[in-house]
Amino acid sequence: MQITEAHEGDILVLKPEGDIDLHHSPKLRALLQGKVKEKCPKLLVDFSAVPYIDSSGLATLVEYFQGSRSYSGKLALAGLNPRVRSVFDLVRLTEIFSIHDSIDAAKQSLA
Amino acid sequence: MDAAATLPLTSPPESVKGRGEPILEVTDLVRKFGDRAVLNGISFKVYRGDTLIIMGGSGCGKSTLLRHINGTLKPTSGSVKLFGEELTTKSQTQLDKIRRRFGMNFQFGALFQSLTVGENIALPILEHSKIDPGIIDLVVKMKLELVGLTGFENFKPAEISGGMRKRVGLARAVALDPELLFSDEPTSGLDPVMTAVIDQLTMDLTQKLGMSAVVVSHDMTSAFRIGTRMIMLGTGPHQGKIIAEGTPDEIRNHPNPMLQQFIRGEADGPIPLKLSKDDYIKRLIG
Repeated sequence: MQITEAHEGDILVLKPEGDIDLHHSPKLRALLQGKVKEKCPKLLVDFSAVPYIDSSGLATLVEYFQGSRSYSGKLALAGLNPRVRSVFDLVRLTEIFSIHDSIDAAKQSLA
Repeated sequence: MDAAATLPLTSPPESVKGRGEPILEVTDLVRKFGDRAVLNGISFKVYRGDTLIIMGGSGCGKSTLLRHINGTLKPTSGSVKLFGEELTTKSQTQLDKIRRRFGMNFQFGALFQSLTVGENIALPILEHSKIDPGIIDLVVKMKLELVGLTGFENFKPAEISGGMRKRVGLARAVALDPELLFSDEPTSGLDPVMTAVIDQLTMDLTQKLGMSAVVVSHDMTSAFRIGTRMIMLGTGPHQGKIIAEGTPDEIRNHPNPMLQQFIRGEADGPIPLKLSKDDYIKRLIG
């Protein structure tokens, strides 16, 4: 799994490419925990190139969400395909995360 | 008239053609205990997203069949292909790798009594991965939410009800997000609301995420709600054979009187509950 990083104003955009599963979620976790340490103020995760996420991937995002709350960091997700969105839905994470259809809408939510 | 004589063949119907390779393919499966064939030439296929219901009267071999298709037991003859791999010739180590890809929900939960609910659910994740304990804790909490047991992670199995233990068993079975779920009587003993919750979860996992399920069930309401295909195993002279196979609608309208007696839950009918007089005398006095 590749993860690209780009800064757009004060927003850090992460774009993972590939499945986020037991094999690959540790890589995402290492990156996200680094962002918590840096107190990243605004993070947008672009899911448009993620075909599948498993429970370990979800937990990795929840852990980041927990950590970022300590410094009032903001998190938005965008571009989830229907299957990935269903994984979030099943454990009610759509009620917790700020999830948007488009990158632009996610950026606006972080503004 | 021999009820089985009117039955259709069990070859895959038109509706399953063009769905890729089956993830489970059972061919001519025979299992004998002594002279008695508990399974006697069972063949069927399960495709991605299917929920196959296995039903039949007590002692018809449903659970024995489940134990063969999950690799726990070896057949007398026949083939079981899971994810394209022949299970019947695999070593224990090879089977362990395949087991990572399916979950097993046992009839009574089969929880470890000395472990907490959370530790039970975490067990397959610890066994098959090196994920950080903090992440596992979060996965456990999400799996408990799935089965309506948020907040119960620190309870011991003895401290919760039988229905709750069943739900913990299901949470453990899906802990690794399996491609295929084997489930033995998942709703027996649950109240109607919780049965509906578990049924909805099974349908969400299969219809939205593409998981497949093989469910042994006596609960006809649940079976017709979640099943995409159904097979019924026979008893008595049809012991160990599939006496009917089809979609829920095909099963509901099937002409087989044994099947109709079973799905209607009627006491009177062709299902042989008692031995014939001659057999009874033979068993009684030799």
